Amino acid sequence: MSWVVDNQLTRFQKFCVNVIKCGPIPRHIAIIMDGNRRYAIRNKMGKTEGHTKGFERLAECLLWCRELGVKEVTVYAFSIENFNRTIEEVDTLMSLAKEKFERVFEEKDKIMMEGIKIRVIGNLSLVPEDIRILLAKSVLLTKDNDKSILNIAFSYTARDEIVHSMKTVVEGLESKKIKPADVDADLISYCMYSNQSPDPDILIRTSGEVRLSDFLLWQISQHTQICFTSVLWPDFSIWHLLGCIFKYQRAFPGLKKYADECQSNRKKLNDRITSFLGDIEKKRMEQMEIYAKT
Amino acid sequence: MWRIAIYETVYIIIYGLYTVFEFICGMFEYVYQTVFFTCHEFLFPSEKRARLKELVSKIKKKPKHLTVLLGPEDAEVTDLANLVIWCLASQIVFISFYDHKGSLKKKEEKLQLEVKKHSGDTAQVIWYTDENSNLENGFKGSKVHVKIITDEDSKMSAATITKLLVESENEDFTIENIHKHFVKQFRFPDPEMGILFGKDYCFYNYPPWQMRLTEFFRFKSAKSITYAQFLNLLVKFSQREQRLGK
Repeated sequence: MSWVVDNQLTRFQKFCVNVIKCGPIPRHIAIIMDGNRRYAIRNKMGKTEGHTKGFERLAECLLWCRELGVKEVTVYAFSIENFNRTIEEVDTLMSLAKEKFERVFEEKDKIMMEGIKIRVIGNLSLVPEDIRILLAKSVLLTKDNDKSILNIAFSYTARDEIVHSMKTVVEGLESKKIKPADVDADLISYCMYSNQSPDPDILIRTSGEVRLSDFLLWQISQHTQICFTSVLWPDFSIWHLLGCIFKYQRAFPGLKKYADECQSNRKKLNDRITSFLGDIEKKRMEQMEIYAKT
Repeated sequence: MWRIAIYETVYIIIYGLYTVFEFICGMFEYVYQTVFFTCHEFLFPSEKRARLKELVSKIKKKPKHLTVLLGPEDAEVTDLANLVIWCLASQIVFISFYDHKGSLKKKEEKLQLEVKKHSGDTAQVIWYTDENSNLENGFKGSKVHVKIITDEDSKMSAATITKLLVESENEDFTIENIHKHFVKQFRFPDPEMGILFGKDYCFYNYPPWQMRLTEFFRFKSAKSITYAQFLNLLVKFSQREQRLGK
């Protein structure tokens, strides 16, 4: 199963996509793809097969988002806490990830033609080396694409991200690149792994869980529309996605007003901060180059 | 061109129908609440007691800290005071309110008075106001800690902690150490359960660090919540299971 699937929407589905596109379309959707294992148990298959089904669904979901004009999607692929699962399962997940990221290079032409940019957010120092190389190479390969963006949270937790960001700020202060007066909540936002993305407009969590489980806490605590649905991820269909977007459109006027209010309270960036943020981005890309070479 | 016109017309029709549908549902619920529920309340009081008892027996675990997100509407102080009283009754030790509009903070004294009216003499309600908490040790009766969460407890606290770390030259950037700082600032444990009021499911800048494992339940309005519904939410909470990544 590949990253870029062919368009298999029926005429009616296409019609509905076009209808929904008449309302405000979210720029960024975040997804917690939960329920692969429960799906496997329910359908009497192995865990691995459940995870594979989950990946197939993701590829389709990305297609739907492209059709809808949603520019950016962030998915929770692997949490730092997932390293606590049994060794067999971690191994299975890692080999699945390896297989999928190897496919990125097999399908290079398709991915580049569609203009898909892959970004990885998370603590890559914890990831096994062979996968880290693949992740870094995928990021570097697609870094100049800009038609649609896929952020993969791998070896990620939000608390780890917040701590990382605070550490970045402290380092900036110590090296005198920024001043104590520059430190505020916004500066911490700008130092997140996800600093290149706008805050998600919708968060979808499947399989009936009603908590955030350490995913993008900082980014979705502001104006994101939360969508908890009971469907298991491999069963997630375009109708569920359209439903979530419709709910977002219903809530849009109120959320937009609140988001604008928050935006207007933000200070304008001074040159010192802008150049500091430029440095961070440069350093991050250099780190990716190092990861890709080792 | 005409295609777009068709799509737009269909969209407007669906949007309109949904608005009507939502309105009818709301009406139906209102009628159900007022007519059916009040009848039940006054005509069969014994049955009500039995029903509440049954609900209570279903609650297997309780949150230590319940947090309430008020959402866009301005909640009545009496409704919020009820929640505090019900926490006392259910032995939930911490309750916090988050109002992103900031209007509850201004009404805090009113809320305190309202709670005092109903809590009785044997209960102790500890308010975490700006200056200090009037904690009395050695108190034996039922106890509840109440806090109104403000913007300063939210993302701003991460900036405050960052500045503290620089000043104290503390270089320990482990999650455990940073968490200690957040707990010290927030003074409450992380909430295990959250109730959001309002039609839209949104957090309006709720403190991000604290809501890592909070189980959230949405309820349409603080105005209509009854004790039975509150217990119902607790039952739902006790049915949740957390795997912590496993």
